Amino acid sequence: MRKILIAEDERDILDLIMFTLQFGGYDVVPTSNGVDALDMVHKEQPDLILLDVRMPRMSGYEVCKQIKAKDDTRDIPVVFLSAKGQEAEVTTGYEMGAVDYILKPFAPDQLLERLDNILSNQEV
Amino acid sequence: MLVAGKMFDTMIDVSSLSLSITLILSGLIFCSLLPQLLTLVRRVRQKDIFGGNSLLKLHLPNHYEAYFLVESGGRIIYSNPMVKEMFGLNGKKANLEFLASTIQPSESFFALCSQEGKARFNLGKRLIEGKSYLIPHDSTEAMLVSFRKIELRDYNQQSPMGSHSEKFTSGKILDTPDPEQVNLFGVDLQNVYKNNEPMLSTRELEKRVQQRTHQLQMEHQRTETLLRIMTELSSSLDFERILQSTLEVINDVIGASHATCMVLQPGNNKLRHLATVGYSNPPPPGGMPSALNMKQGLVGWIMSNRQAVLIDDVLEDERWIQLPNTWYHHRSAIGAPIIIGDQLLGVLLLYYPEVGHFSEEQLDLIQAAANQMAIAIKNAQLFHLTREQKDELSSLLRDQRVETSRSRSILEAIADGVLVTDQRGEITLFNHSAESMLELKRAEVIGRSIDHFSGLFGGFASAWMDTIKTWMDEPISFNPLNTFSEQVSLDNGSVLSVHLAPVMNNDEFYGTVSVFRDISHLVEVDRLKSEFVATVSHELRTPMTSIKGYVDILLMGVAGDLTEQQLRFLSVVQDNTQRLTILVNDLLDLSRIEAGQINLTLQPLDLHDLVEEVMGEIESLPVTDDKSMRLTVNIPIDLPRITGDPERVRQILVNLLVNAYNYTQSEGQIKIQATSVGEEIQVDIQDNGIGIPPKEQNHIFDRFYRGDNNLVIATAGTGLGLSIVNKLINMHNGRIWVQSSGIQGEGSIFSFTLPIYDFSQHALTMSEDYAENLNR
Repeated sequence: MRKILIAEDERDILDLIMFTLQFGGYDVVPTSNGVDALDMVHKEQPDLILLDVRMPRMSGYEVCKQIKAKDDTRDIPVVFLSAKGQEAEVTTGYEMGAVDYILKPFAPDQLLERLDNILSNQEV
Repeated sequence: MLVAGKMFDTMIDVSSLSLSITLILSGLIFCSLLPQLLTLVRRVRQKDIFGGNSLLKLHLPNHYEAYFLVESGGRIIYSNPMVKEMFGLNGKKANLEFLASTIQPSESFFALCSQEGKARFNLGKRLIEGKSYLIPHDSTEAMLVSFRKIELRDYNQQSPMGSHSEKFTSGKILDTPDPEQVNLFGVDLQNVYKNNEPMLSTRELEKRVQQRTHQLQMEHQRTETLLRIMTELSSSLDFERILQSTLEVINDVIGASHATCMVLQPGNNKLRHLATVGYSNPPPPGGMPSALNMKQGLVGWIMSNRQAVLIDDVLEDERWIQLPNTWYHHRSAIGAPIIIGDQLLGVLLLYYPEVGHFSEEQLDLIQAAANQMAIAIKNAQLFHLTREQKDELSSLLRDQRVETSRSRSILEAIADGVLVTDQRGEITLFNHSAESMLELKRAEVIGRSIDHFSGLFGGFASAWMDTIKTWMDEPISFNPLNTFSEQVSLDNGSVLSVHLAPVMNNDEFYGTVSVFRDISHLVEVDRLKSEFVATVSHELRTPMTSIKGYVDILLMGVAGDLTEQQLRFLSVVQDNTQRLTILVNDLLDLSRIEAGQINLTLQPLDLHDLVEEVMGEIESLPVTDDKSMRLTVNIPIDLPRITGDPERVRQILVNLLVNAYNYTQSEGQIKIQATSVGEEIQVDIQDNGIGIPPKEQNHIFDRFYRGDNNLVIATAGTGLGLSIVNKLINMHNGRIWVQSSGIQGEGSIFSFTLPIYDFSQHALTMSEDYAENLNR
């Protein structure tokens, strides 16, 4: 079972994402801030990381940057899921090494579809 | 001059024989009179000549003069008729004792008859003045004693009674005679007595002397008078006072009792007495209107004939109009027109209360005087005119100066910065606000060319300075309605809103005026607003994420089965969540566009491909109603590429097509067509929907404006779509407009333009952009 690490500070949204991904057949590792997320990435070695941008203690950008800076986590695909939709913000996300940038509010089925795509491309 | 004038006065006014003799003897004026006197003395014994006294009368007006010759023994050897009259002899022969008995003080009278002198006497109620002069005669002498009445006027002006035995020598008027001349006189007189010859041939001589003397006297009088008049006339610029004193001189010289100078008023041709002599009051400033007009009476005659006139008795002259209620009684009159060139300025008139007072010879003098006055009057009028014009000009100038300084003060005082350049591009005005905004001192700027400041305010200001230079270099090249209106960011971080306009007057280029305002705080406010909107949008998206997500999951049936009703209710929540999402996205978009936070990535775009993509996008949109729609695309295959940002052009097309779809009923038709028009591509999106009433057409591009139509209200919309489209098209240098009758079923045509991609202009960057575009 594929493992997806989630970092999201909003409890309701974290639950929603967890429910959606579990429904989609994924193993989910939930965290609620950037620092915890970075810890868990090393421990859990997930197949994909889904990051909110604005989070307490460490922003999603910073988390992504650090993941991409370490050899053991560099290859894990990172996807941003954020309410910040301005061009500059999206661009920054890609610059940090993300493979996708999904805007909130999102449709659960579309989220699942995009993550499925990323992971299947990963296999190829 | 004054002394000469006084002497001259004496010649004509003071009628004392002795006085004349003294003057003659002194040789001061007329040497030619000496023979005349010699003749006179020779004829002492020929009493008929003395009695006829034609010679003396000429010089000594008879109403003024009484004289007698008395031998040293006291015998009166001659007396003229005035003596009888003055002393009341009643036919008696004059003798000293009797004469002495009639006047007071008689001692003085005897003294006067025995030695040279001058004294005053009371004769009855009159005051008379006597003068005597010693003439050598045989071994002894004869005394010539003369008298004249003293008018009250003279009396008041002269020394009081006490000095009745004063010597002739004391006066300024009479000098001590030359002793040699006196001796000659005496010898001559003795010869006359000895020879006792009748000198018949002298009669002719006498006549010629008389004529010549008179001529010379007149000539002299004329010259002296004119000189005095000219002096008076040129002595001051107070015109009316000059005229008055000049007239007094003329009056005096001519021996008139009354005189007036009437001048035509420029403009209304009415005569006014500007100066008078002899009348009760001098005229007030500005003169006194004449009772006669310029065509009436003697004045009228002089003016229309432009000729000097001499009238012995005005009462006998038909030209004379006797004015009623006058206390004066003019008889003699002499007058002349005041003319300069051919311009008639007025009339000079003098009167005397007795008949035949003036002489023909005086006519020339009067005319000459009038001519001098004409020059003075003309000068005064010109002076007046010049002064008026000067006053007018200076007041104009003053007004203008006041106006200029007022305008300048206003420009200096206003809170906006003002920068004015002249046609050479030199800065002529740089107000206080400009100083503080541009952080430059006025002194460093005024008078310098705008060239110096191109780079000074930073790169953004160069467009501003360049526009000034362009206008300056080619003043003809621009349309007077052209203005430059932009926001300029300075290096110091402040932002100015600059409005630049040419200063034109009838196609003539005077320079430019720039008015600018520091809008840094407005820009800051705008930035805060955008930030606020962005934050708010973000904060709205978070709860919406939960709502949308959970509703979607429920609707997916993942959380268990739902009843029909539950499904329907949840669909309503989903639709409205979608609507809210669009609203937030649009709001964010708009605020970013308005804040200038969206930068276009311009590249050549193929409208064909773009429309195709958009169609696919629209077809993939969730369809909530089962409306059928026919979509026709008509884009020529060889249509040039447009310049645009692909994302934004797509957004424009989507917005317009979704609108067309939304506001058209089922079975509608939507046509998309594109044509090349000049340097632009025009895209028309036509539907056959509800249309837009003309009165709403002006507002549809306003934020949050939504039409007043049931279908519009029923459709989920934010009222921001067209506003965003409009702004995006403007950012592309395109235009958008709408045509619609507003009639249901006739629909509307939204047309917009986008510039054709100019490959030559973008040759260098094109390949890169294009390649990048292809790679995507």
